[in-house]
Amino acid sequence: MSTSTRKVKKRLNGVVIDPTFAEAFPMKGTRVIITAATEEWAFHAANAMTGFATSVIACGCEAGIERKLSPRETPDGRPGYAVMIFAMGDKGLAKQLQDRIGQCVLTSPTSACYAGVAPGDRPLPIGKQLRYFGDGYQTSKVMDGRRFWRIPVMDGEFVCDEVTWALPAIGGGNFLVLATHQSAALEACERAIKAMRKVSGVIMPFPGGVVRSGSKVGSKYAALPASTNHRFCPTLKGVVDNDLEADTGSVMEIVIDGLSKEAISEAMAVGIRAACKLGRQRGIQRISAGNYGGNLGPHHFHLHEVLA
Amino acid sequence: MKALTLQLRPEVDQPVDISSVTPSAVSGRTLEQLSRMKLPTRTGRLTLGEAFDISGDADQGLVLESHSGLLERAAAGLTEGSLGLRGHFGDRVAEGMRGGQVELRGRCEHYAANSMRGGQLSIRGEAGDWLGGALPDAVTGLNGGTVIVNGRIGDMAGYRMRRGLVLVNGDAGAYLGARMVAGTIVVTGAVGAHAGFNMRRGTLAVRDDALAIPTNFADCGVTESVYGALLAAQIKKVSRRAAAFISSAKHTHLYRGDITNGGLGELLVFATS
Repeated sequence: MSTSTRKVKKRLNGVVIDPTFAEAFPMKGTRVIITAATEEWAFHAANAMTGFATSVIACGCEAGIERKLSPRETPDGRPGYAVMIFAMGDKGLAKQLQDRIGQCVLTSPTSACYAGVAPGDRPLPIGKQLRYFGDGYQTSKVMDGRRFWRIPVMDGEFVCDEVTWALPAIGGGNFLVLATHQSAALEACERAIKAMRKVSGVIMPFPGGVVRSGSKVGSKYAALPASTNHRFCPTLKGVVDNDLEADTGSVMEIVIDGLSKEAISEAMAVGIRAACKLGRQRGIQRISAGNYGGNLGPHHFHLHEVLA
Repeated sequence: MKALTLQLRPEVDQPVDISSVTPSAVSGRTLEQLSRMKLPTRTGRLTLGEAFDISGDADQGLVLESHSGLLERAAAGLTEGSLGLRGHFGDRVAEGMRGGQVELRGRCEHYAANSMRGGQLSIRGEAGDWLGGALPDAVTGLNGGTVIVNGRIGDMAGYRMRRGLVLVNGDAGAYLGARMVAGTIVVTGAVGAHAGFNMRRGTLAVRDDALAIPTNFADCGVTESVYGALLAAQIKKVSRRAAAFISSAKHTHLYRGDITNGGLGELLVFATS
């Protein structure tokens, strides 16, 4: 990654906002709604479904819980969660969706699963495939033009939409928090994530929403597609060219996937402002972002524009 | 200016096929042009002007009024628009309807909504026999759309029904859902004998004290019905009463049948106490 430079400096609460941009890529994404008899069990299903889904590099998809839903917001009037999942293409997305719902939601007590986006032109099977688990005892119901499948299971019945739909999406919106010490970087990121979770249409797929090991493309080892972003590693400050200040002790990154550029911009703005609330006096030095010179990803999120 | 209102004259003494009178058919026509529209009868034809007193403006809507039960096939084949029916209508209301909204304040005779495929028929009154049921020469009955009846319905409702939703806030006669292929019928009142006779698939949702459980249904026990919750949430948009009937149930007892025909149909019995 590299940081482009412009002359304009900006600060929030004493924290420097680098004149740089995040470079993001086209993906395919969708949303599903998971409900259950209680909020706790809806969370278990959603949490399981979005596990091991931090990066398409090795997880097959990027997924996360978008937000909790009240009973009034779900198709069956039960508590639920909205979950979003992203992949590089329709086929990969369909496979990940099938596998995760089949293994993590269908198996979860009292759960049901519904499409969470409006009908489009690229259907992704949910019940259309999972119905076969019913071994011929499954039935379907058409309501308001939607087909639902009812699959008999040991705890009663698993109900799901026949399909959801793949939508164009963006992956890799990001910002970096540079701090004098690790606990400051972490606290700033925690505040950022707490604020960002209120933004619709985005997820932050890494553990707790935060990446401690931001990467760069390529490696000295031919087999590796990515490796540590050494220019932002504070323990290498003295021996490699870097983008850090002399007293930078820790850098953490927040990566954002979303269904629209507007949603990602809003999430970045909300997150950066929340992170900067700690201020320079409590160790937050700079906000930066990762890009590849602007030539790989078509979506650029300039930090100064996002915060304007 | 009120809606275009066609009041059937008392001197009309034979059934009249009113299916050609729809919102789109009357739109843009003068009263003179409307008067000359021809309507089939059992013995020939009548003009609209001969059969009806006509008043109002088609741009404000369309209302048909009858007190004799002689107007047949009202809203048959309707694809769009709204149609108001007032009074007593004959057979085959909303036959083959594909879209739009029909509201009947009054009652109708037999075979209402047979072969209906879309749209919504609301009846604030009683419906006769064979509501949503297949005509003698048809393979299927109701095949889509929503029928809401706030009143009593007769026998054979949903006979060979293929798809769609029927909500009855009232009592139902005998043979409810007989030979039903699919779809859903909800009845909040009492239900006559032989419900679900030879049913293949589909759902009958009834009250626990509404009927004697047919002997050709297998007892599958009490269930936590997620489908019931989904159904209640969906039908709340069109009938709060029917939705409340389901969502306020103490528990749901599931029976599957007709076991002489595969047993994939279901009788959902909602306990009221």
